[in-house]
Amino acid sequence: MKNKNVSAPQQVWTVAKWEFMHFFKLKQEVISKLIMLLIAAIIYFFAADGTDLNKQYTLATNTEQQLFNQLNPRFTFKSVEDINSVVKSLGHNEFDGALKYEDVANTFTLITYEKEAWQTSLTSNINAALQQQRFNALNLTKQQQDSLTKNINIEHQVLDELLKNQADKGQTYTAFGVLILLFVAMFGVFGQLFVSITGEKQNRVTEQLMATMTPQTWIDGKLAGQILLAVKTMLGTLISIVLSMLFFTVIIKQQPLSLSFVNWSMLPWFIVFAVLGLAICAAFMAAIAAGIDDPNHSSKSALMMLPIAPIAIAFFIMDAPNGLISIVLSYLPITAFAVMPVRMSLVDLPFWQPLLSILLSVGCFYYLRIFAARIFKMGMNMYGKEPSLKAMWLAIFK
Amino acid sequence: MSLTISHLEKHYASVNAVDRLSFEVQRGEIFALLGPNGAGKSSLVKMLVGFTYPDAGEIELIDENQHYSSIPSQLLGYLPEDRGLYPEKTLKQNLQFFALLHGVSNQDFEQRCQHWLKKFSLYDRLNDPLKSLSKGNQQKVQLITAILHEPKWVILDEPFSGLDPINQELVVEFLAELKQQGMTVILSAHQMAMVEKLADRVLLLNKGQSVLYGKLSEIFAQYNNYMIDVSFSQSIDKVQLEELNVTCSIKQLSSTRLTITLTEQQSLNEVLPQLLKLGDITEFKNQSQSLHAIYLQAVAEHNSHALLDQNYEK
Repeated sequence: MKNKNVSAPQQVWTVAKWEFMHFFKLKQEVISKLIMLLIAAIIYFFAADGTDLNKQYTLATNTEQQLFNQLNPRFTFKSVEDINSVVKSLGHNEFDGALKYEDVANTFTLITYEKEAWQTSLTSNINAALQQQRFNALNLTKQQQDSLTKNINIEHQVLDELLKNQADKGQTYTAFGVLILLFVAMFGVFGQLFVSITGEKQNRVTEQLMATMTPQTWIDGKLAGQILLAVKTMLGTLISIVLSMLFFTVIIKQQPLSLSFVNWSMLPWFIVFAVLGLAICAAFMAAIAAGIDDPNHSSKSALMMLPIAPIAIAFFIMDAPNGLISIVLSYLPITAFAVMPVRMSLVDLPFWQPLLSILLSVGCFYYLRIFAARIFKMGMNMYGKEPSLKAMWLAIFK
Repeated sequence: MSLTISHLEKHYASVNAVDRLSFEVQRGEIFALLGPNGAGKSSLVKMLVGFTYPDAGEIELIDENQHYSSIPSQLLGYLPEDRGLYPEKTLKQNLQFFALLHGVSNQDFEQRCQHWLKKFSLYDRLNDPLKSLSKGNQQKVQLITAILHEPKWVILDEPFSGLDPINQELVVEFLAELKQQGMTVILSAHQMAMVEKLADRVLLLNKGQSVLYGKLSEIFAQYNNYMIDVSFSQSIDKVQLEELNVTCSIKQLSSTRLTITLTEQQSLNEVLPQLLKLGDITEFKNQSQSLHAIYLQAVAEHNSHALLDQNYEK
């Protein structure tokens, strides 16, 4: 035999690459990005068309009011004797619209031939000017005017010293941002693992594979491939979000993009928890998929959705981040990856607490992947019969 | 380097899938595992490749002073009975994936891939998806997958099933080449004509037990000595035939022809004078049995012995 000896890690890497490339379709990725660009171009075209700052608009009006002088100079007003005849010929005369004043009700009506973006800008301009006109009529000072327009805020102070100052929302936004990305990636992993493992069983490749490597190597390779795919999904989604923000803020609104809501110091912690969460959930899903023989007739498929539950739980613990349930869930490996980052964003935790949570999660992942391999091996030798949940449970501890 | 199986047992619930089985496979030979469906061949194969473990007995493989309790994956090429590859992937992708898992270098892969695909007239389909190939051609790709890493031990479970006679002959050539390359082939098959052409030794299983085991030439010698075809110059009188003082089995093939299966208790010397009572013998020849006939006879005998044993126990 002239072949070089292959170690288990090398085989894991081969399976991981195979798994990754099986679901990574370059053509599909390029097409989706091109569609995004096309959508952006369409939005830009319509936005640019509707918000042309240099374009002048002329409106007919039946009143001569001071407030017109306070409006944006691109709007010009011309007084006409018969506003109704101007309205009738809108679209065919020199006016872009008519601003009709009802003396009795003291109201303005904007009439245009078509709906365009500048009309929203004009109405908000008129509203602001009218409000200012009323303040002036009441002879209110600047201070009084501010007091009337300012929202009333109720500040909630908590005396627990561990709770962080909620004025700094950056950590919470970052934690939930990572969780949402994790949620998106998890759905991908769920579908892919299900298709991949049950598909191989349906295509009868498993015996050929098992003559080449151990069930553990195979499961480890699959998990590595799926984690890589999930990280790719998270990064891809993140890049898409950042690019969209850049597009809307910098190009459309012509303002600088601020990423001040991201807490960079906590981000590495959250990334570690996210990757661990992916690993644990993927191992759990692999164990369930390993026990499914025919995906069309198995009742176990629904169990694969279970790992998504901790992400939902994380949203509920916000109300009581230091409660007993939150503390327990932040150490329990199957929920820790979602709950601990949220707790970290709300509570000042000593360094050892997230570290302990990470160690417990690593241990959980280590054993879950072994359980998945054992279930797979047991299922493979059942000659097409699907193992019961009891048989799967017994195989785990065999 | 040899594979020794001693007193091997495997039970599933009340079924003895493999029952006190002992045999040896020599290096470089083609060893055929025969037996009816449910005889225990697949159970035996699964233990040989390490998918399941024996309930009793031992499998011992010695290779370069290393002892193994099943054939390790680095020495094994396996074509499972329950087989398939990745239908969406191309032939090259499928073959390369399994070659990589076995540590075959790119250069060796290209060379071996070309050699075997050309042999099976599939080289021009290298970049086609597997699912675009006929079932028979897919099976040929699977055969190549099993041996591309040039293993020392090859186990092929039903390599001829689903193939037309022309492709069956191609597989015979393929197996002969594996033997030439020094690989040891354990073959499970139902196509006796193919096994006859290829196998050095056979093991016939029935109900998990060994029914026949040994060199093919010895088995033929053993069985064919006992069957004789006798032709007479005139029609055989049925009353006279029934009155013959013989314990061996006599089957009348036509009005002038008989087939006699001798037993150990009654030799030809004793039977011949009895036959002469029926008339003049015009032809007397040792009937050469095919492996197929030997197989049927051995299984039937084993079944009747098993039935007798059962009745005796009752």
